[in-house]
Amino acid sequence: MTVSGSNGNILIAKPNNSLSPTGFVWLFVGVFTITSTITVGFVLAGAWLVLPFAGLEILVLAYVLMNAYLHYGDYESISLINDDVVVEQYSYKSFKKYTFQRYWVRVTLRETLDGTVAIFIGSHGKEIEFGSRYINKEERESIAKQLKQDLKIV
Amino acid sequence: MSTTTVAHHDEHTDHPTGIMRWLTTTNHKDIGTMYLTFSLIMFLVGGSMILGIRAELFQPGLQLMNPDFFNQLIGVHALIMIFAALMPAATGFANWMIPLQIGAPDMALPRLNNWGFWLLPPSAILLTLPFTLALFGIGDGALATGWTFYPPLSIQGGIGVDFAIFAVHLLGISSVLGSINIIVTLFNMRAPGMTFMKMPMFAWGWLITAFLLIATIPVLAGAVTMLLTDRHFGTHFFDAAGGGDPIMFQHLFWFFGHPEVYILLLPVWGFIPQILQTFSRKPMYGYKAQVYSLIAIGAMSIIVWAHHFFTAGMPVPALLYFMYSTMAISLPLAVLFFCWIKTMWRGSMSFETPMLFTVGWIILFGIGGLTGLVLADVAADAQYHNSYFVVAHFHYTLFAGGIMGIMAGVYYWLPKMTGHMYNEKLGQLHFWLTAISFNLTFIPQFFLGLAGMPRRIPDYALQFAEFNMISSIAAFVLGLSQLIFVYNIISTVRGGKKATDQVWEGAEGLEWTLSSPPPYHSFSEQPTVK
Repeated sequence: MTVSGSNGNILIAKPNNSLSPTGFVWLFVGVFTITSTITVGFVLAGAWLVLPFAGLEILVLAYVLMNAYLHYGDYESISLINDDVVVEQYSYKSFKKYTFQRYWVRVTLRETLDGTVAIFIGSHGKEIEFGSRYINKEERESIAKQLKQDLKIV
Repeated sequence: MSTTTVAHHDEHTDHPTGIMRWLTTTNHKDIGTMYLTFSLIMFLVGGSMILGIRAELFQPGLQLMNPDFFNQLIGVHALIMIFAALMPAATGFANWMIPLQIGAPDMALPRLNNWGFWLLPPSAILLTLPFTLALFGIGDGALATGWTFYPPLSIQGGIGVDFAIFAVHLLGISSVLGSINIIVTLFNMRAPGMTFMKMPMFAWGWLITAFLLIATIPVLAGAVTMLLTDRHFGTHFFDAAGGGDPIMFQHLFWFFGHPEVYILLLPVWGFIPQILQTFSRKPMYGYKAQVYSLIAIGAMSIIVWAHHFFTAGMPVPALLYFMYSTMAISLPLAVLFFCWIKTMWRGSMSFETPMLFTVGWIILFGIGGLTGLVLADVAADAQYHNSYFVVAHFHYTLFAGGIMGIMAGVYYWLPKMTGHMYNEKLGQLHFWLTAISFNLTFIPQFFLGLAGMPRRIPDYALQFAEFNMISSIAAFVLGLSQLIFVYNIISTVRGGKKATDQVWEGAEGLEWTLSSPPPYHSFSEQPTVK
């Protein structure tokens, strides 16, 4: 998880991906090669029931890696552009953009029903949660304070 | 006008409380705690079973139980100790420490992590339930085949074998889910700057373990399923009467079973160097050499399996191959031993409980390794196979090398996890009682094996009586001394002297930069490794 500062009046929260996109492919190819080599050996020896279990395992691994890969570019951001507060939420094929009027926006840090602390941004009856996936409690508190500074009316 | 409201919350309101916290938690520390607690409970359950066995073996003749129940206790003791005590302990440490050590907020797949744990209690029930059912006249007890399920005995066995097969399936699913989670976490969630060659040794140990599990679990799952179909669906995979091959099962089982030894030990080899450098107050010696050795051991562990059944009959070239390849594993292991000793060499050493367990571990695990070399010799193995020499050998490997290593890890990280220091005097008492009684339990078994006493037999010839008596008395001391361990853990969780963030003077690594105990969510700022 990475939180960029408010340089240029934009704050971005995104996961820290230490594996490159091609790394995902190589990781899968590596595991697939090892597992399939072993499986083919045992199937040829007559133990064909190893195959469905190995196949299931590879499918689960593929699903998990694909899921992580597809969410490689996920982010949430808050931008202060002139009199607007723009919140963007990108999660694989889903892009949401909310624009609030800077002078009326409310930033609230409060507990949700599951007991975690969340940042809510909104105005005029519309409210969205920010950073629920990438940032933890301490970061949410510091981001809320930072927003308070940035939203000060000059 | 714009407004900002910042509410302040107590730590205890930051997450669900009560039973729901544990049932639904996706927090890596909560899940790690559950794994460790489960492991401790099952360690006591499995240990109680073996005390029953040692009571029976206290003197020749049948005193306390019939041979079938004796065999059931042996088989379930092994399955519980391997799958429900040792593996969950290592997984508990992984859940607790890997995110802390690599600077990640949590594991990559938190929900999968939760499922991985909650598959364990049902599997423990499946393993032990047949004992209870037999009391009510249902079935004939647990599996009596030993943990290896060898056919034809397992094909002819009662419903305990079916229960054990399903338990193994659940344990296997749990292991695979956990392994995938660890692989994705270690590959994709390391802090900026933490390259693979800067990763803590414990993380390396677990990465190789995870790959081994993924490579071998499908083979075990296939093998026990084939056993199940042989038992109930008319197939003859392993039934010689129907043209099947019982030796095939041994190949399948040990293709998993031998790497399983390293699956249990690699995580321990990961954190032992970290403990050594902490209490030697000098950097770990030969980090790269250790990493390459771990990789070499992991790779070699899947090509040596047949040394477990040399006596089953194999072509001579196969015997020679498996003998030499098994012996070759001692080379990277020797590198590890050298690095561990060199880390201590001329260090400013102190001997708190984790270090005592670690130094004791090196000596005792060394004995386990060296006696393994004896068993790797095809000619010698013909005499030692299925004797008490083997029992003593693998207990030096798995009790000393596995469980005593885990105990070192518990004492090392317990102050970090709980925020309290454990009772040092009790810890040291626990170590000395464990080390002495362990040796008194198993050294006689080496000699019993050399003299020809077979394993898995409840009765024995009179000539073995004295050494069995010594072994049984020492086993009870060993078992009872573990109650000190349990008491020390519980009292540390409940309170005690406050632990500092670093806990140990020489401790280094990201986990020691957090408070003791660490906050519910790990890193409030992304750490950078330079």
